[in-house]
Amino acid sequence: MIKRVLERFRYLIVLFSTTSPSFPYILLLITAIVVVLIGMIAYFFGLFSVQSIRASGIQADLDAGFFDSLWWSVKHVLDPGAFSENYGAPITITIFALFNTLMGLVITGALIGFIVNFIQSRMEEMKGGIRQINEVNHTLLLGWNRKGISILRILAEMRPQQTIVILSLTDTSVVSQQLDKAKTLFKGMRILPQIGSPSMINDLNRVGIQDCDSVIILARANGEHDGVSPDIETVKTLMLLENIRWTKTKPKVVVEVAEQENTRIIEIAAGQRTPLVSTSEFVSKTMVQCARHPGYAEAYQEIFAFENRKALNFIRPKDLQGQFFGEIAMRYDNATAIGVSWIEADTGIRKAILNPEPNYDLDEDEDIILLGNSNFDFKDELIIPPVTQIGEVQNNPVNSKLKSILIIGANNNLSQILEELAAHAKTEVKVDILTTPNQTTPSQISSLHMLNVSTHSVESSMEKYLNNTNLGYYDVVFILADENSTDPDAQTILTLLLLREIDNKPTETAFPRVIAEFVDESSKELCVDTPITDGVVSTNFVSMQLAHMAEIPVLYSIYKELLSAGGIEICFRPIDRYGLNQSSYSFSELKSLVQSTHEIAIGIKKTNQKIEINPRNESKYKYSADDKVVVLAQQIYGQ
Amino acid sequence: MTKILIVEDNEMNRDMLTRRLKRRGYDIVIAEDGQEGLEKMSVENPDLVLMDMGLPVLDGWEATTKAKSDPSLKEIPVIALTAHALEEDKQKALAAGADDFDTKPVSLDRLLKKIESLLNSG
Repeated sequence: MIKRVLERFRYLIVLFSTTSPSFPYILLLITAIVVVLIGMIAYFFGLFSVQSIRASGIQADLDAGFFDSLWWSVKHVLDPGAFSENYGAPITITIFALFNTLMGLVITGALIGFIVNFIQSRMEEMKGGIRQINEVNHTLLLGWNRKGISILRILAEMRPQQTIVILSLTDTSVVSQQLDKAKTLFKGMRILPQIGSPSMINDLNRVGIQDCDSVIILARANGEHDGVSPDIETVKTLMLLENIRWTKTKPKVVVEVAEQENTRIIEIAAGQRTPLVSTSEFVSKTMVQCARHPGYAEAYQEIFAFENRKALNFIRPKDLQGQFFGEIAMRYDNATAIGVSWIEADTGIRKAILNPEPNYDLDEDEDIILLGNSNFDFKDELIIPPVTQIGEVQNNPVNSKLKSILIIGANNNLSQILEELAAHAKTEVKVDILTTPNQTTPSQISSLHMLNVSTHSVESSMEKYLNNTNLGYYDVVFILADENSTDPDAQTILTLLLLREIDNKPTETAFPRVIAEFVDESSKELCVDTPITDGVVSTNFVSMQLAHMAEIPVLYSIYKELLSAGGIEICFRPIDRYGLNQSSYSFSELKSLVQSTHEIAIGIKKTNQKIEINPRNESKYKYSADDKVVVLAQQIYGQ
Repeated sequence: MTKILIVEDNEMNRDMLTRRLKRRGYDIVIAEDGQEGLEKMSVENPDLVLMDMGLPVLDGWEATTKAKSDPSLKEIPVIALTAHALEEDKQKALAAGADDFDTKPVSLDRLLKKIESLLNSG
């Protein structure tokens, strides 16, 4: 019986010592009490006898009993110097005094250790990103990958005064190191990296999920997922967010999809209206748009970088009802009216339409979507500039037809690129894919409508193969990033150098347009002297979308529209379409002519110059035959 | 009130037509693909259908062909809408049974004339 009770007691002690963080403090307190009690036993051995009372440290002023014994014992535990005051006391009392002093040193030492340890661990927690965040209206970045820095840079550009809290499983020292390297880009924005799991409610509460303004969920970085889909953590986080009982308004959420095939499951977890950004989908659609409209990547970046006070504004001019969109659009300067937006009464969701007809009759609940500088001008009266043309405006734009395409490399974006090409194809398109032996191509290639796809595995050197290929046969060459490599851009750079060599050789056929995918902006910058027409930097472009959608959710439908087959697109119209060849005209005159074709002029692309978005209305241009107008237009097939 | 069914997968095109036609007093019903369009034609019994041709699940040409071969739906006038501007696309839409044809970008004034013309001739 006693044995069982002792066993049970021992078990409880072990259990308590391993599960309770306060165990060491309680043990220290008990030890101190026991030591003091043992010291008090000195009373029974003549603590206040005539012999003992001669010592200066033994006083019997209170009761010469319990309280004086307690005082004497406690004094010896807390103050090691008190032992010296017992000079002249009997040996028994001296032994008790020595015991209390020695135990006092142990107890005090342990107490100081605990205090130091407590302070140190708190500091470690703060450094390591394990602390309660007390912020309001902050942006939460759940997860960390190579897009993180880019997203923070864009958020700083849009709203430098905000606070960003990063919650990820990546070691905080790694994140902090990366942040330190790029800190000049963040314009003083407060960034708090925290370690923790975005799919754990305690961690989300710790970083202030209830009080945040927006949430950006990033897919887990390559190499962190050990064979498990990088989207699994995202799905878990979304399910958790769905089950949270929100005490305030639910924050805006935007999600990165790492693997295109997981889009549907993430959509189910996130709900229909949550913006999803799929790297694969975005890169594929952008590359195909670049093939259709050379210079597209530059225009896209220029329009949506939202740098230097450029932004997307929603403006409601006075007395809008009954006015025509085209008339209102012409009155803006230093900004371009690109569409109409409104908030749906039943759902509270902001919706948008791009490129409405000039005679679109506006309603009082509608806002004008304005692309451009925040210091735009709005003229009170409509000025229709007189335009002198040397020819008629041609109403049927000529879109470049893609008949043959060469794709160098294969990665996760390949099947989506092929699907996108098929979606835009009006007649059969020949697609040749060159792969290295370690690259695989998607299985459903043969079933794609309008595409005649052949795959060629290049066993020997790519240089030899490309030298023996008639590149002039192709309209476009796509170079895909090599995701199997530790440096995905290395092969792209090498291929571009090879193409430069081939391009330098005399030939009768025109060299095709070259569109390359990069992971790093710096790699693209290295390739200026290569025959590259468009470079799609996936990290930058996807980060831009994620950051923008976290701030302005309606951008989801705008981006979707601009990249989807059959919708409104950004494209380039030759200047001679408007009968303006080689003459000097103001941008407002050009805007008016473009509007007459049911399109919207947003900028100018002069030959061999950078794209200029939102020129001032009075800016005069002398156009040459190769100059282009950047417009928003309905995609039309068939011409 | 005249009921128009808009079969269109592109959200912005759908919203644009819906808002503008509602302001002109039409009752609007929407479907996002050809299959849903056929189902809505049966259930909602619209006075007219605006059918985009490039639709998912069942494209506009097939949906129009099926509607026109169904005795209960064939009397509903269909205007085909497409971003394909070739004459053969127009012929293809008319061959599928569409009563009229219009190209994107939609000019509302032109479209309204076609709608009114079909509704008045019915």
